[in-house]
Parts: sequence; C-alpha cells; structure tokens
Amino acid sequence: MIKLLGSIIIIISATLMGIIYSQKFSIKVNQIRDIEFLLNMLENEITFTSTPLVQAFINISNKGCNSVSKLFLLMSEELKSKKCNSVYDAFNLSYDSVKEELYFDNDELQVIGSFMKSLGNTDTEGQKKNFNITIKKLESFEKKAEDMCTKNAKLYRYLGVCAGTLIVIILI
Amino acid sequence: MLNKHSILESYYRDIIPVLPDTVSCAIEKLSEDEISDIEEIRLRANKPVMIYLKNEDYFLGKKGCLEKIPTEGIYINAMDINKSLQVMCDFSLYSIEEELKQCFLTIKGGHRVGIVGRAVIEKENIKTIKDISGLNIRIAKEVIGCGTKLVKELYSDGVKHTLIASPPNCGKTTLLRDIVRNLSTGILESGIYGYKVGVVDERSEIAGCYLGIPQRDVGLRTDVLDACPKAQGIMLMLRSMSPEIIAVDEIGSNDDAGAILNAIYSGVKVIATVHGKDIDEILKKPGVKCLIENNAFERIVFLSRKNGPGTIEEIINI
Repeated sequence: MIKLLGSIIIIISATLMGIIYSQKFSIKVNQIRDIEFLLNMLENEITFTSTPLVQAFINISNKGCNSVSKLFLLMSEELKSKKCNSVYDAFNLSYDSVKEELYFDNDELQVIGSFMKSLGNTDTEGQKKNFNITIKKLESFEKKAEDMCTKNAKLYRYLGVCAGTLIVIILI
Repeated sequence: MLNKHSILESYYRDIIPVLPDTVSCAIEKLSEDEISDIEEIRLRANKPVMIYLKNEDYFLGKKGCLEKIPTEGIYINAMDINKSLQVMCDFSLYSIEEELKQCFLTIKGGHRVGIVGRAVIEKENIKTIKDISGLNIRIAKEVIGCGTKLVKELYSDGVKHTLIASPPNCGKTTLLRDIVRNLSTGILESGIYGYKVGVVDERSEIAGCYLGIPQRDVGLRTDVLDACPKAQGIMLMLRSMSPEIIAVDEIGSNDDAGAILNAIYSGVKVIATVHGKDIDEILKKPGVKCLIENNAFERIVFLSRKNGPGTIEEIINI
C-alpha cells in the first residue's frame, strides 16, 4: 500500500515538474507578445501625443498587469527619481528587480537593450524608426518562441510522466 | 506678495533636481534669502556657472558662495549640460522638438530655460539644436497681488484692451499672470465679479502648465490652451471656450495681430504683452504697429526695473 502511494506521489510530482517546465515556453511567448503590445502603445504615446517617457511608461503600464508592465512602471519610477543617467540605465536597474519573473534570453535582451539606448534620444521620426526595427525583431522572436513552445511544451510534459514512471520502475 | 516659502519650495522641487550635482550642492549652501532672490542660473560649457540676482551677476563658488571674481568657480562641461537637458525633458527629446527649434524649454513649475548650441538647418528653417553649449534657467516667480492695484485702477469700470510693454526681465509675464488671476477670480470690493478668461500660453510661462495642469494660480474662471501658437490659439479659444477676456504673452507678428483684431471684433477683451521699452520701440514691430494703428488697445502700460521688476513707468490712455 505504502509502495503504491509512494509511486503515485513520484509520478504526480514528476508530471507536475514537466508541466511547470513546459509552461515556461508559453509564458515566454506571452511575454514577447506583451512587450510588442506595450511598445505599440508606447509608440502611440510618443508619436501621437509626444508624452514624456516618465508619464508614457505609467500610461502604458496601466494597460496591463503583468511582469512586463511592472518593468515599465519601475522604469518610470527610476527616471522620475532623476538618479539614473539615461533610459538604458533605468532599464537595467528595473530589469534587475523583475528578472526572476521574465523569461527573455540574451538575444531578446540585446534587442530590447539597444531599443532602450535610443529611446527618447531623437526626434519623433527617429523614434518611429527605432520602434519599427525593434517590433520587427520581436515579431521574429515571437515566431521562434512559438515554434519552440509547440515543439518542446508537449515534450517536457511527456518527459515528466515518463521520468516519474522510470523512477518508480527502478525503485520497484 | 513675493512668497519666499513658495519660491524655495519650487526651487527644491523643480530646479535643484535638474542641475548638475556640483551646481545643486553649491546652491544648497547659499542662504535662503540668496536662493529666493536668484533670477537666472547660467550654465555654459567649460565656463564658470553664473548666478544673476538683484540686477547683478555673480560666479557660483564651490563652497556655496557668490563671488565677483571666479577664484573657486564651478566649471561645467558639455556633458553636464546635456545631462541637465535630458533630465529637464524627462529623457524625452522628442517631446521638446518644437521648443528646441525655438531655443527654449519650459520645465515643471513654469521656469523657462533658454538653450544655445549649434543649429541644424533644413530648407532655411531650424530643424533642431545640437551640441548644446549653454542653458539659461530663468526662475519664474509668482508675485500674488502684484497686479491687484493696477486691476482696480484700470478695470473697475470694465475691462479694457490692454498692452503691457517692457524690456525682458521687467516682470511683464508676472504682472499679466496676476491680472489674469484677479480678473478671473474677481475682486468683489471693487465691483469686479470675475470674468471667463482664456489664456493662450504658447511658451507655458503664464500658467506654467505641466502635463496640461496650470502650476500657477491663474484664477477660478481661467481656461488655458498650453503650448499652442498664439494666432491659432486665439481663434480656437474664441470658437470653443466663449471667453470674455483673452490673455496672451509676447505678441509681435502680423499673424498675432490678425488674430487679436479678430478677437476684438468678436467682442472679447484682449490683454497682451510685448517686448519694448517705449512706444517708439514697440511700433517697430509690424504686428503691434498694425494693432495700434487700428486702435486695438485702450491702455498701454510700460514697465521697467527702476524700483525692482514690475515698476510701472507709464500708462497711456488711447
């Protein structure tokens, strides 16, 4: 009886681990979509109403309630405190505070980082170009992340069940 | 009354954060009287920081003192100036694109910052200013009540089309703001019950708007069209807000004159300011000449700094 109970617990735990790990891929896709959506909103704030970044970040972060929105809200606070030297500095400081909740990898971070380096530094036309380039790159990252998600999410879920079963078989 | 407390409050809230650290530290060491008397802070690349107060200019010393000779003056470089400008515009140069073309910027609290650098020209127009080499921060001071006497004197039997003229730095905008406040809120004991006032604040100096909200007291019945070109703004005000009085700062062009005449012919009273120390000087401006020839103004008030900013030199009845 105890053996049966133990085996069930092992299989369930391993399955859950597989599911949790597989969710990382879909969360990442959602976060790339979120940042694309927020950058589109930010582009409107900048090109249509010329709202300064401190206020624009607050406005766009109010339109979402996820980790990406939180990143922009933190950036607004950093810029408002006037302690940082640039938008890029504010991004780095804010990213450090929320990096546990974000699933961006180095390529994505590099694109977002270079976007932040140019953000606010040019006229409206220059800003439009910056948004266009970044959003295009993010779209390709989104496609890649979607492919990874469909390929790997199922794999890790099955892997969880299989690993649990394997451990039980070995133990028995 | 010049409220020392509110000047200091605005100073620490709006001015200190935008200055380079070395400059803000030295200014904080000055006495409260000196700080509240500051009229201009001039930052020039590779030159000592200068402070203008009580009609004289001084070098700002490292130990927080004002000197006539820059023995221990604070020198700043182009990078410090650039960082200050970035902070002033909330790290958003695109949001001051139009202001940069006109070499000025209005920061929170309504303080105007003059900008010099290298102009980038496109099709004979200034596209932007790059390589910023100097900033002149002009501290806006709200002198509540400075216009009350004049309002009682000029407007007890009804508002008249008025032009306020003076050279720069004589308190035109401060006086205009207080006149607007008095006429908008009303002075009951003088039979002024309050008028609907429309302020077209092209340079954000009258109401000192930040994100559209006036930071200065411009009265209870005042509508402010912020950062809008005067000629267009006057027409928009007439059409949309049914004002009884329109107030504008620093008129001069023919477009301004056309819009003001339009407002006057629509039955709206106009109060405006212009640069110029006497009637001969202001008549050299084509727009003002056209207005005076058309008898647009009923009163012209000349100001000077003889007894401090806002000294009324002469009032001409036309």
